[in-house]
Amino acid sequence: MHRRETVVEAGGAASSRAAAVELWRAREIVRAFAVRSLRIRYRQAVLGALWAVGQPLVLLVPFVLFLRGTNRVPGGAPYAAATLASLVGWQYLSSALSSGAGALVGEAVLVRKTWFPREAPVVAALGAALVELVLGLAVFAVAGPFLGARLGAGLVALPLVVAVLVLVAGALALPLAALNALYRDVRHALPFLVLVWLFLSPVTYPLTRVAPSKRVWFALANPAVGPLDGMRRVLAEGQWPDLRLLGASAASSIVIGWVGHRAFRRLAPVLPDVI
Amino acid sequence: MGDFALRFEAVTKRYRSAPGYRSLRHELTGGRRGGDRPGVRQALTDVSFEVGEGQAVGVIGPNGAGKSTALRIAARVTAPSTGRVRVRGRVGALIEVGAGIHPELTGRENIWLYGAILGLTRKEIAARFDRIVEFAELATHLDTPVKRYSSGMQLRLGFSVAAGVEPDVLVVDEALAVGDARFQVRCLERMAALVRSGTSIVYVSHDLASVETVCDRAVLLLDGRVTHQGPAADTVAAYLAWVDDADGTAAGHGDGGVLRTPDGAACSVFAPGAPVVVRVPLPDRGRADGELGVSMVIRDGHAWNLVGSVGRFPEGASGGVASCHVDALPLGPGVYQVWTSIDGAGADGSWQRLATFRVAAEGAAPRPPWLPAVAFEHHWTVDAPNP
Repeated sequence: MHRRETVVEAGGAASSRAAAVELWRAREIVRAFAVRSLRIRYRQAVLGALWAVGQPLVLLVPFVLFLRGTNRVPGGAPYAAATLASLVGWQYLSSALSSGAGALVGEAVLVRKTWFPREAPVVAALGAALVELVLGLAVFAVAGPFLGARLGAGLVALPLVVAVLVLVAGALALPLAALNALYRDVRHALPFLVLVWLFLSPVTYPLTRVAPSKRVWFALANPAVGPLDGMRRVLAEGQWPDLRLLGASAASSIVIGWVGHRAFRRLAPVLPDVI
Repeated sequence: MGDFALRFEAVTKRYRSAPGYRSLRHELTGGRRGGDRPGVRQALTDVSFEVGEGQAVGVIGPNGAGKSTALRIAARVTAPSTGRVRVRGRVGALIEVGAGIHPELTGRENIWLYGAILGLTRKEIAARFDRIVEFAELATHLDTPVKRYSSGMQLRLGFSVAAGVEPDVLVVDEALAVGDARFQVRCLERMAALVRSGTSIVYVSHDLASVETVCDRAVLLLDGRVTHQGPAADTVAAYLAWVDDADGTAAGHGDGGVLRTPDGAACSVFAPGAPVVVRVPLPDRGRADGELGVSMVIRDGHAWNLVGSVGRFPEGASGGVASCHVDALPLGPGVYQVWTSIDGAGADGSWQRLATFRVAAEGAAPRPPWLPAVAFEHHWTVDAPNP
């Protein structure tokens, strides 16, 4: 019988490739975590799914009331449609980030007493949040046309935009999940930081407010810029996403994710002792 | 053959016991130096042992000796500070009551989740599901959240899943003691059946009798170090000896090589009739001379002196070791102690327990309690009645 040999040793700073292989073998666990978190989320709240659907719509109201005036794009899609499109993307980012950052602490019972790739709950959270994204897209499919969204061939690029969105969320969620397990202050700081991030990202305002020459730098500094602008273009404007911005955001999150994952791997072995 | 399923290679584990003494920078820059800092507790020191394929190995020792830490490392829950553990195949672990079980989930969901954690596909779990439920005897509580289970029920679920997923290596902690007697019997039977079917088992328990029954070999951990490993019966005996000595002078020293085979190897287990050398350290008497008497007796568990001898050294001696060479140990299976007393100038003549040892005969039936332990040359015959 061929049995896979596992070596348990200090450090735990295995290569990213080894980590990916390990995670792939553990895909059943990822699936189990994701299914479970969705089930628990919607078991307790009858309105659970409605919450996910309602949030972008509710947020849209004050934005439209107070921010439309200064943020209209001449010749572009109506403000409400454009903002709803990026809000749907934002909703994924903020939900994936907060559930991902809390994932390890949420599994503390299991982390303390069993082994599984510690990335698994975080990845599962990223996946579970995709269900909300799909619900958000469904809301947009219904509400978008009423608000004046324009359909176009750019829609086929939606998976690409979503992929970068997941990448951005994952790059930040991984290190935050491990840090959160060590220092619970992360949990208190996170909602505040997410709120700040919302206003630093082109959700309530269009990217046209930023000078064209500075947009790539903006996307590098804030990786949410590329995919959120992409959501707006693809869903509301019917255009192709700006690949330069998308690429800048992807590159930026790959760097953040690589560093973050290294930190994660460093911290992972001590988690069962401290979580 | 001869392949291992799990192997500890010079494993050392330190825990930081001073909370709040942690800086993020320290973690990220690899703060692994400085093992001697205050606030660091060393749970395991240079632990090496091996569990062969299809072998059951017991880990015994007093509380706080590092048994649970060793199991946590074997189950990959925590990493060693130095050294490594190599595991071949899938590890099923029952580290404590409720390990691997999520309180918010139902029994059914927990079986699926834990199966996935152990690396089974959904198909594989489905194939084993009914057997797990049957063994746990929880069919009627399958859809109840585990937080409403009693600790006995949680234990049944945990053991049933860990053993039911047919792991290559099963790691079981003394958690079993929580279960009712009937379930414990079934667990031990199940473990024996797993061993027969090729599963390797690491079994931690205070129940030495069950360790001796279930395990082929055992490892004795004292204060984080392996002080003895070998056949389960021998290790159990060594642990018993340590317990005997724990309050005496020999505490922590093992037997210090008091008992040896004729070729000089330290030994604590002998066959009946085996030759033994008893080495008695002599006190440092300075320049005092005069006759020195070394008395040595072997006592059994009832503190009866069974055999003994007095060695006389007319020229005296200072320091060094007096050796009593026993050609054939006249004892049956059992646990015995060596007591000595030294008289002569500079020695006070008090009796001291020097060592504990065990006589074990391969395949021999245990000695009935009424039968004296001292052996003598004899044989039995029977005469048929005259016709």
